[in-house]
Amino acid sequence: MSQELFKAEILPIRQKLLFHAQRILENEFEAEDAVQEVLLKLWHIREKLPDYDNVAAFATTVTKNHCLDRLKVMKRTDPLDDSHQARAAFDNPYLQMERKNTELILKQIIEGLPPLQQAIIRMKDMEEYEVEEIAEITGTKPDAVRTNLSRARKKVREEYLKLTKV
Amino acid sequence: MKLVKKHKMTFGEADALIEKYYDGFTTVEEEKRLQAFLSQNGLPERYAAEQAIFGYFKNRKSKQAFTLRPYLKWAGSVAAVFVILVAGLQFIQPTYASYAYVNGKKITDLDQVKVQALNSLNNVSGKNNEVKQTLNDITDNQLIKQQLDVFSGSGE
Repeated sequence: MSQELFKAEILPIRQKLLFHAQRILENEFEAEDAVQEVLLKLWHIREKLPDYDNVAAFATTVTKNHCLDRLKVMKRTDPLDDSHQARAAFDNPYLQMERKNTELILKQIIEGLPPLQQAIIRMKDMEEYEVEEIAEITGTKPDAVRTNLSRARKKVREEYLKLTKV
Repeated sequence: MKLVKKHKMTFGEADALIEKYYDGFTTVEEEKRLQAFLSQNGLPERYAAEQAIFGYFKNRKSKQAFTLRPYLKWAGSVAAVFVILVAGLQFIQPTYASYAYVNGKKITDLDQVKVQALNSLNNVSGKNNEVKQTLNDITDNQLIKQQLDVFSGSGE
């Protein structure tokens, strides 16, 4: 599926997907993030989309499942436990040794970013998309993409400095 | 299209671009220039984090490029053709290389070469038989006598 076809077939149902996401997540911002993530997921499998008889129905199913997964993660996440776990994980001797491995550290940091930020930083810094292209794919404004991108990049730097500080 | 003159980025330019990068405003082209700047050796310590981060992304990009399926498919085909060619050449070459020299004259006719080769082999095997025969002729007693003669130094 070409970029034009993707824009013509997927983007018009964005509102419908957002509606489903809001109903499940009961949070406007979470729903917006979830839909952007789903659209990026669909973008990465755009070549396979014509194989589905009803692309709109498929996109709706993906959105619902994605929101339910997100809901599960949200319910499970206890912020206090999480921070303790993160600190403990980087304080055992084995991981202290591995800390020297830059590639591993950065991989872990990026994987720890919120999913939408993760998807955007991958597309911008590894797959070389321009911000405007990502905005088009996700049906958002470039500024919204930039905000997420900026947060992701600053977080990566901050965490990297924190973890490599001797 | 505007022709961009390549020049070495100054620290001031790099700092401005890095700030722009963290705000999410750099283009892919600017990020590539920044990447080139950061891949230099001997940069001040303050660039360490950016060097690591850009280095990581560069690595991921090249990994992605390398694992492209079409590339692997073609590489496989090329390798297969190469193997077939090498194997084929090894079978073909000995046939073309069959010849014999008889009295300094080169013979390339396959039948004649075979005849010459068989003759040579018979000669060789004949000589072996002679050696065997000679060895059989020498009895154990003769051998012992010969050796005793050598040690006693008496000769006859």
